Order: sequence, then C-alpha cells, then structure tokens
Amino acid sequence: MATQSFDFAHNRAPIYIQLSTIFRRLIVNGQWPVDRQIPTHDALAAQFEVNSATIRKAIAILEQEGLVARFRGHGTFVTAKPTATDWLAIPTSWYAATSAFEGLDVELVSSHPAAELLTPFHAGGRLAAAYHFTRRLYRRNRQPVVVEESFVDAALHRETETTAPLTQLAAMAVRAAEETILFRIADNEISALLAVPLNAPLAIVHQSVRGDGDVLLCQSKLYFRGDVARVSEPIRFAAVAR
Amino acid sequence: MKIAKLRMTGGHRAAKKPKRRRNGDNPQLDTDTPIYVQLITHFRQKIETDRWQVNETIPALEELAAEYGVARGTIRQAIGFLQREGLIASRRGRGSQVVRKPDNTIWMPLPDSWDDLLHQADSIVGEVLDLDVPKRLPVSAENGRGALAPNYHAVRRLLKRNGIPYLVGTSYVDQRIMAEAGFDALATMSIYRVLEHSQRSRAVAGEQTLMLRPADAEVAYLLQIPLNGAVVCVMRWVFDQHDTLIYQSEGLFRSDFVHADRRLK
Repeated sequence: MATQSFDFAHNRAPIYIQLSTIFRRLIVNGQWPVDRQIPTHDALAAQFEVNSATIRKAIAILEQEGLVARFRGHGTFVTAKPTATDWLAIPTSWYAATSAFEGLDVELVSSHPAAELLTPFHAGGRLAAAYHFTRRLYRRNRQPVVVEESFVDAALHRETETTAPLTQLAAMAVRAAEETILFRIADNEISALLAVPLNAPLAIVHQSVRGDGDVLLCQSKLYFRGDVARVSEPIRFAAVAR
Repeated sequence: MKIAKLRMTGGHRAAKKPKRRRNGDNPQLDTDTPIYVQLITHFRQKIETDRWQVNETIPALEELAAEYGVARGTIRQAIGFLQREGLIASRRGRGSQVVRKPDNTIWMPLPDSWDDLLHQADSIVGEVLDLDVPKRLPVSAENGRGALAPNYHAVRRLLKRNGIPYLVGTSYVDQRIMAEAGFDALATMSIYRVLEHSQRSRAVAGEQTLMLRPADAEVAYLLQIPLNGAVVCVMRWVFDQHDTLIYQSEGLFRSDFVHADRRLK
C-alpha cells in the first residue's frame, strides 16, 4: 500500500468510508484471501495512521456486506469475495459482433428514415444514398443492459426490425468492419433508457461496416452498462516463431 | 420518448421543491455518490460536448443552484474542482469562463496484440513514480489457465502525462525472468521488453479483460479523480511456451484517457 503518499483529505467522504473502499479492493484482488485472517485493527490503524475506532467502522461495513466475519479471540477473517458479475461480453471480433445480443430481449424504441446526413465516425469509405435510423433497447432478465443506435443503408432496410443490424449483415457481402470502444458516462436520455443513475459509467462502442465499393452499410453506436459489460479477449501473438 | 429530468438525490434541495418521481423509465439516481461529484462529471461532459463552449461564460452559481435544485455551496465545490483541473477560470465579478476542453489529445489506445503492447511500452513518455507493492500475486487467470511460477517480482507504478496522472499499474513478472534480466533491467526497459528478451521463457499466449470499476479512495487520490469515479481496469495474463503464467498486470486508467480500436473484419 502506498499509504505514505495517500491523503484522506483528497475526498470529502468520511475516512471510514474511504478505508472501506480500499479494504474491499484488497479482498477483490485477493490481497486479503478468502478464509484468511486480515491484519489486526491495531496494525491497520498504525498503517493508515488513523484511530482504531475508524478501522472498526470501516470493517463493520464489510461485515454488513458479508465479506468478513469476526470470531471472538481469533480476529477477523475474510468470508467471501464480492459476488461475481455475470458479465455481458462487449464484442471485439466479427463473429461476436454479429451475435452479440443473442439471448437478450429486444425492444424497438424508434425507427425512421434518417433526416440528416450521416457523419461517419470512422474515416474513409463512401456513404450510401440514404440511411434508416433505428434505436433498440436490449434487456437481460428484464434489466436494460444495452442501447443500440444504428444507421443502416436504406436500400438494405427490412421490416424485420427486431434483429440487430449486424446480425442481418452477417449474411451479406461485408468487406470491412471496425470498432472503437470509449468509456463515458450516461447523459439524461441514455440513463433513462438504461434505468441507471445520471453519470453512470458506460462503455460506448462505435461500429462501422463497409460493403462492396467501400460503401458504409451500417454505423452503430452501442451503449453498454458499465457495471455489467466488459471486454474479454485473447492477446494476439504473431504466428511466426520469434 | 420521455427524457428524465436531471435530478440529484441525497442532499439539499434548496431552490426548488422536490419533484415527484415518475415511474417507468426514470433513472434511479445514485445515492452513494456525493452530489458535487455527480455535478463535476456532469459539468465536465457539458464542456466536452460543447454545450458549454470554450470562452463562454457559464451560468452564475445561483442560477446553477436553482437549475439543479442544490445548495450554492455544492455548485461551488463542483466548479472549484474544474477550476483546479484548469477547465474553468473564475474572474472576480465577471463570472466563470470555460478555458479549455478536457484533454483528449493524449489518449492512450488499449491494444490487443503483443507487438502493439511492446511498442507502446517502449514509447511511454512522462513521469513514472514507483509505489509500494502489494505482497502477493492477486489472482490467477480467470479460467484457471496455466500454472503459476514459484515467485513473482511485483512493480506498482503511477504514470503521468503532461502532469496528469492517468494510470496506476501493478505488474507481476516471473521472478526467474527478472533474475535472468537483472533486477535493475526495469530502469532501462519496459517489463514487456524484459519478457521479450528472456531466453528461458517465450511469451506465446495471453488474455485480457477491460472493464469499468469505481475508484477506491487510494486510486481516486492517485489519479486525482472523485471517489467512485469510473476507472478502466485492464487485466492481462501472459503465458510462456510451457503455459506458465509469466506475467500478470492490473492497470487502472482514467476512463477519459483510453480507447480501444478493433478491426472486426
């Protein structure tokens, strides 16, 4: 711990709250392993240069969460890690991108011809003559998890609008597809759709799909709830022996 | 579509009467995060998206307090944070002005190939501060892949660019590889280079995850962001030809500093 370079005055939250966030991370990381004893209150008080009553209050929060338990005469033990999240995968391959929403419930929120000229997110390529705009909301176990906004080449637009555009495009002549993932916060409109607090963290995924003649067939913007979605991918190594 | 009104919870509602909560698509506003922290993030986004433009004078504290239904002091706290960040300047008697947008020109890509990771690590510019290291390997690969090395050498660092702290990184390297390279090797080359130079082990496979996490108090302090502000957590696992876990890292990035580009097809 870099306690010597740490200043509780940086945040206005009470010190015991701040300490509880640090202790929770030590449990998540496995620095404080499950079934093992954590340092004594006195040792922690000395390490963080706070009153041992403050340590007790911080530990009490973790106790309420069921992460630690005190055993009289034996000290405090880690009893569990915070519950593992059932992660929703943010796609980083074509296969995953075309099947990203399988198993989710979809609601078509809006669908209409795009009024304005499309501004491409990724540079290069040519625009189609006209685009159709759709916005879909995907739910998992009734919980909204993704908002998708797509501009699809109007010539390709079908009335089978509940199918995600990339899933529809999987069967077509696609020449290139790319994406950029950003990490942002929810504005009023998206937070309302996803039923998350304003400023909730989001992973925002911009996808561009090009077909014959480098025409932009589809441009999508996906808003993933930051607390349930993540990227999990292999690190690519060059195939040749190095 | 109904657009939910911006509403803050958990504190003073000085100027406006509390509004009734509509059911349905209303956001459940965050009661754990202090209001001024929610406002910092909200105002920063206003600047980033040009709703508050550079050189524009922003509304007076009283006006903002009324608009958001919070106390004036809460607005002052939030604006004060953005002033210290250099995004807003106050001129006595003339209100506050937007000075610049949050710096997006110093974005860090998060690559998914070993070669890109190597080159990125070679070209790290800016300040590197060594922090105290944790005493054990945090976690093995999630899918239980590979065998652990007998011991690991741990490094924990804070990286800054243009004076802005953007990464708290904790790395673990198979101790045998560090012994081979010499423990002062890290003074002159990146950990990835040390792995690449090793004769005994060859990095052949790896995995990574990118996810958002709230900053705990220490990380918030180090990255100079609000408590519970979002950080992007990048976990990496690298295996050698014997499927031994030779490297593991946990990088906590300021979330407005990173992006990931992927070619899908």
